[in-house]
Amino acid sequence: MKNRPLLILVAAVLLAIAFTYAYFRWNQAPESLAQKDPDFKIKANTLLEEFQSNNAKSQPLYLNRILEIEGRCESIENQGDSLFFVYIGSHNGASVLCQLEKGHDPLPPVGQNIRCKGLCTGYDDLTGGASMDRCVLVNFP
Amino acid sequence: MNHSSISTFACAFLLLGISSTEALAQNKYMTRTGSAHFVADGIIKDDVQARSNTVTAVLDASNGQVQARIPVNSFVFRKALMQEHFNENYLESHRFPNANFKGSIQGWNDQMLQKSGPQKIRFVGTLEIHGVARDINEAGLLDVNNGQIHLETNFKVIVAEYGIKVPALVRDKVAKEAEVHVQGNLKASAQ
Repeated sequence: MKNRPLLILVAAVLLAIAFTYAYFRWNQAPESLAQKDPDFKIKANTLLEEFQSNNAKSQPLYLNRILEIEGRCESIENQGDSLFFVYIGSHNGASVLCQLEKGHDPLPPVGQNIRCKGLCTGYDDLTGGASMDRCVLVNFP
Repeated sequence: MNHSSISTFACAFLLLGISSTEALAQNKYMTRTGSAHFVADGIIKDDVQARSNTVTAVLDASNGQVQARIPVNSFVFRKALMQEHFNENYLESHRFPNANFKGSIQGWNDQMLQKSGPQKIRFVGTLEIHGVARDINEAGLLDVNNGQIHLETNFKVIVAEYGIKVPALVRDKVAKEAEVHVQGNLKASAQ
């Protein structure tokens, strides 16, 4: 067949493209949520109230969703130079725990109203709080 | 009983109530930022490991009872696709959002908080992963430092025992037993 070498070449190129795509897709790091649109925008205290009053209803609604919450920065915690946590809002003595994706300089002062976007990891029935991971502060220097 | 003795009695009762509540509250130690790390590399090494930094743990120092919660979707992998498969196919975090431990420290007594230096302990209780609860008895460490209680444990989880199905295609990449390390620094809690 006259076109056989050409067909083999095309097949080889396609295979190489497929292999390269699979390799990069498999090795891709989890992406930042900074550029993602939130599924819900909600006040931190409202989120806490909803979880505390009806977890069975709230968990399927918010779990694994990207939330943008707004509320008072209750406290800040850091572990070394790489792990930063912000506690936002307060309802019945519990807050939303947000683990920041990376350190912010400066960190928000306690008492300031802030907005934070992250992946909701659900209701914490041991404390009455909620938790979010991979968080970024919104419109904060 | 006249009005003033009633009010004195009421005040005393109230104060007693408040102070006993505070005493109870001081017996609880808590963290929401403990960590859990697991490694489950199979025969073919592919960096199957992940870490969560939002582990909640509560210790009741009056009786040594311990509870812990690990949000399953808080585990971060180096590879996005691995993280996706872990949550959607293996651990099904939408159905079983938390891994939970409920139990106690074996042989607990108040004196354990007075000792300095690491103490060997055993955690006895029920570990629930993927909706399957199993009794466990695992070695751990307790260390009291600057008013904080450091707790940690290393143990193995046999994946199949918790109803986690690993597809044949990746069976050589994912170990049958995952090595798990959990630790946290618990502070006296007002809750």
